[in-house]
Amino acid sequence: MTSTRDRMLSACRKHIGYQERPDGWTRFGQWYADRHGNQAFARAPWCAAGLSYVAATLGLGKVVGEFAYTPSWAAWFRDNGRWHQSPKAGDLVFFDWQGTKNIPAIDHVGIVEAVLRDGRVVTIEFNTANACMRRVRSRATIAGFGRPAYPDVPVKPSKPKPVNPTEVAVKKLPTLKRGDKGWHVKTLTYLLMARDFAIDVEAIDDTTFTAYHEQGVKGIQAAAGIKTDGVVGPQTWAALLRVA
Amino acid sequence: MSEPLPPEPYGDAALTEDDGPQRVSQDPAAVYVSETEEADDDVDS
Repeated sequence: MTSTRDRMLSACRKHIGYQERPDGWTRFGQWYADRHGNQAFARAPWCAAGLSYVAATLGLGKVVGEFAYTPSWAAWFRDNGRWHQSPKAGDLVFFDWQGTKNIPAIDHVGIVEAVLRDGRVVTIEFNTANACMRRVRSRATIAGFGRPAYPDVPVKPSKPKPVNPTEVAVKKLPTLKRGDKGWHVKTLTYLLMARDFAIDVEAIDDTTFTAYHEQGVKGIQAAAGIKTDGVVGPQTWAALLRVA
Repeated sequence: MSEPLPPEPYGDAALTEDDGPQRVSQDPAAVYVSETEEADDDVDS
C-alpha cells in the first residue's frame, strides 16, 4: 500500500541525478515559467520549482503548494498552521544559510526523505550543486519544516480483476440462431434438455438450430428476464449455463 | 503582484561541517526510511 507522502518521495527520487543546463535552464523552471507566464523562471534557481513540479504531476499541488520563491512557500505553510521545527519524512525543509529562523531570509528548500537518530535529516534537493541530489543536513541551517496535509487515504495499487473462467468461456461462445449448424448447436440442444425443455433428439438433428431450439431458447430467455428473441448470445448462454 | 524570482545563491550546495560526510547514495532507486516518526505539534504561527 502506498501513501500519498510515499508517492511524493518516490517521484522526487526519480529525478536524482538531473542536472541543469550550462545556461541554467531546467525542465522544472520551464514548466513553472509556462504556468505562470514569466519566462525568467525557466533559467531561475529551481529548488522550489522542482518540488512544485513533482507535486503538481501527482495532483498534490494544493496540498504541497506551488511556488518558486522559497520565502513565500514557507510563509504559506506558516499561515496555514503547518510550519514545524521537528521533521517528519515528507516535510519540506527550508534552509537559511545564515542560520536564522527568519522566513524572509530563507534561501533554499528540499524534501525530508528520512530523519536520522542524531537529528540530521536525509533530504532530496533540487538545485543543489546545479543538480537534484540526496543530501544529509544538520539543523544548523534549517529554518523550519513545512508539513503538507498529505491525504490520509492510502493509494492502493490497482489489482487486476479476478478472472472468472466461466465468463471467459461464455464470451468465446458464438451467437446462434435458427438455421445455424455445428457442435455448438449440439451443446445448446443438451443444455436445453438439462433445463427441462423437452426435445426429442431422436426426431431432430441435434447439430442444427431448429424451430424447436428457438422455442426452448425463448423459454429460457423469458425465465431469465432477458429479451425473448430466440437468438443465443452472451446473455442467453449465461442463462443456459446458470452463471448469470 | 507577480512572484519574485528565487533568491541567489542557489547553485552552491552550501554544505557545512555540521552536515557531516555525505555518505548517501545518489541512486534514484535507493530508499531511506525514517528512523523517527514522532508526532510534532510545535507550530510556529
